[in-house]
Amino acid sequence: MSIPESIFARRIVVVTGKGGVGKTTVCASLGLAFAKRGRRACLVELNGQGRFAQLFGLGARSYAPRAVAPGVETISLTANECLDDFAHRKLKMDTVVRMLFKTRAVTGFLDAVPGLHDLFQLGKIENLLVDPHDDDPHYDAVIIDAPSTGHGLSMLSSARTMADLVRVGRFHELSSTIERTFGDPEKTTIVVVTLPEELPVNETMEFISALGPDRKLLSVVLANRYHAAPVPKGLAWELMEPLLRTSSDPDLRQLHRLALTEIERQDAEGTSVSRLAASLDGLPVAVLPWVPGESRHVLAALASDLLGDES
Amino acid sequence: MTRVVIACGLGGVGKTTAAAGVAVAHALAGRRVVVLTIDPARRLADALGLSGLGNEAVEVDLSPIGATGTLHALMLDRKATFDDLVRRHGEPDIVDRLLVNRYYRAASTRLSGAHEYMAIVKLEDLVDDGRWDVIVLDTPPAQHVVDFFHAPERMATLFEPGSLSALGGGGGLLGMATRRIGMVLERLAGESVIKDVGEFFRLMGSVGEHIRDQSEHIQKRLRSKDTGFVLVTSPRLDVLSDVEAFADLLRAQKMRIEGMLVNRVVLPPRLGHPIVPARLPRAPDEIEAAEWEALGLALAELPPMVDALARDHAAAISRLSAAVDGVPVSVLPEIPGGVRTLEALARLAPFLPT
Repeated sequence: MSIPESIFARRIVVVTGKGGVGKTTVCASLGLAFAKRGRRACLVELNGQGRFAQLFGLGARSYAPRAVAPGVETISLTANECLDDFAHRKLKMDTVVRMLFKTRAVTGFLDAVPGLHDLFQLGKIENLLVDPHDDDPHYDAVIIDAPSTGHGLSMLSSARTMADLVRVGRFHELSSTIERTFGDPEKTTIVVVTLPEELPVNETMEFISALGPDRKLLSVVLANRYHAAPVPKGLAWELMEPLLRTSSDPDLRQLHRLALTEIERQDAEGTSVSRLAASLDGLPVAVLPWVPGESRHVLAALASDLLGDES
Repeated sequence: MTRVVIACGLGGVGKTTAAAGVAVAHALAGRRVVVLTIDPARRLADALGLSGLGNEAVEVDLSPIGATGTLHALMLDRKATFDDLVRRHGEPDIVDRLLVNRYYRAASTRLSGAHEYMAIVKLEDLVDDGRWDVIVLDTPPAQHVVDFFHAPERMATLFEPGSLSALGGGGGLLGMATRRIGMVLERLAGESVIKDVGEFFRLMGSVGEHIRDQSEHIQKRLRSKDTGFVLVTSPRLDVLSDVEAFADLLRAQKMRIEGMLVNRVVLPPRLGHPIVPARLPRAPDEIEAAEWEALGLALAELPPMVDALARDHAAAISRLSAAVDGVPVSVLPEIPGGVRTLEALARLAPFLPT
C-alpha cells in the first residue's frame, strides 16, 4: 500500500510511535523509498541508541554520517555532541569555554531541565538541513527515529515545554527556530507507526488526540506487520471447516486450528485498522505487511510497498 | 524475608502483562503477593479489578481461579509519590514553597531517572509494609533495558552538594569557576530559569540528602539474594544487543536473573506432511469448484507462512538464550486475542518462574 506522495516533498519526517512497533525498520524503509524517488535522505536517531548501526550491521554508533545504501546515510546524535557542536558553530565558543560544558554543574543543569536534550538534537537536525557548512553533507530530507517516551508526549512538545521554562537567552532563540521549522507543515511531517492490534491502536488514538497543534503535521498512520489475508472466508470455508475439524487426518485437524487462529488474527487486525481509520477524521491509514526474513530483504520489500510498487 | 521480583524489558513486549502473570503464578502457589504495575492496559486493569485505582494496594478477587494465596495490585503514581517524598523528608517550612516552585511543577517527575526512582521508593514502602511474601515490580518503559539500573544513580547525582544548588543563589562564597559557569548558563538560558532551578535544588536540601542516602540502600536491594530479575522480551533479533547488555550488567553486578520470558511466540505448525490442495476434502455439490479450489490453495499456503514466522521466532530465541547463558528461558505461546482475563493470566502460570 502506498503512502501519500506529499511526504516525499517534506524535508523532515518525524517517525514516532510506542516501543516495539518497528519504528526503526519503518524509518530505514522510508529512507530507501526517498532514495528511490531521487531524494537524498539521512536517517537520524536520537540519544545515541545505535539502532540503525545494529540494523545495517555497522557496529558502534557514530555522530559522523555513514552511508547505508545508495542515497541514504545515517547519523546517531547525542545531546552532548550536539551541544558541543552548537557551542562551537553558533556561539563561537572556544575550546576552553566549551570545557565548562563538561563540568558536573553544567551537565547536571542540562540533565535537570527537561526537554533540553531534545532541543540540542533537534537544533542539530535543523542546522543540518538549513545551514550546512561546505564540508557537511547535503540532504534533501532527514528521517527521524523519534524516541518512544512511553508518556505519549511528542518530542516537539518536549522542546516546547522547555521553551516555556526558558524564556530568554540563546536556548530560547534555539527553541523558537526549532518551533518555526518543525512546526511548519510545508517542511515537516509526522508519520505515526503502530501495530494492527487493539492495545497499540488505542495508544495511537490517545497519542493523536493529545497532539494538539502538531495534529496538522500528521500525514499518515502506518499499521505495521499486518498479516496479508491467507484464508478467504465465506461459503467455501463454512463448508470445509467441519470437514477439517472432524477429519481422520491429524494434519488436516492441525490445519483447521491454524486456520482458526489466522482467521481470528485477521479479524482482530482488520477490526483494529478500521477502528483506527474511523477515529482519524480522514487522515490516511496505510498497512505495511509482515515480511519474514533478514533485514535487508525486509527493508527492500517495505520500501517497495511504501512506494506502491507492484514488483 | 520478602521476595522481590523485578520485571525488566523494553516497551511493547508485554512486560506489564508478564509481571501480572508472575504475580498470579505466585498467588496460585499459595503466597501473599502484591504487584506494582506501571500504566496497565485497560483490559489487564479490568482483569485485576484495578480500574480507576492508583497509588494504594487493593485486593484482587482470586476466587475465579481458586488460588490459595492472595494478590494485591497497585499502579504507580509518580507525581503523588514524589510529592509524598517531599512532604516526608523536606524541612516543614519549605515544603509549601517547593510544591509551588515553577520548576518543581514542570520538572519534578521528568527529572532524569525520576520514574524509575519513584518505582523503587514505592517498592521500599511495600517491603516495609510487611504484609507480603512476594512483591512483583513492573518497570517503566525504557529505551534500553539497562536504563532501570542507572536511574537511581542518575537521580542521586543531581542532588550532589554544591552543584546545582549554587546556581542563581545570592551567596557570596561562590568560586570563580562556579560564577563563570553561572554566567555562561545565564547567557544560554536566561536568569529566571537559573534562579528557579537553583531555588529548587536549595529547597530540596534535605530531600536531596535523603535521595543520595537512599542510593546505596537501593543498590543493596537490587543485589540482595531475595531479589530476582525477570527479563521479558519479544522473539525478535532487534532486542538482542539490549538483552546482551542486560545480562552482562547483571553478571558484573552479581545480580540474579530468575528467568527470561520470551513473550508471544508463534509455534511451528507440526505437520506430518505438507498440505497440498489434493489432500483436502472433495468439493460438495452446493459449491462451485473454482471457489473450493481457491480456498484450497489459500489453506495450503498457511502452514508455510506460520512456519516462516515460527522459524524467525525460534532463531531469535536461540540467539537470545545464548546471550543469557544458563538462565532458564520460558517461551510463552501467542494467545490469539491477547490476555484479557484473570483466567488467561492463570493459564500462563505453568510457564512462569516462581
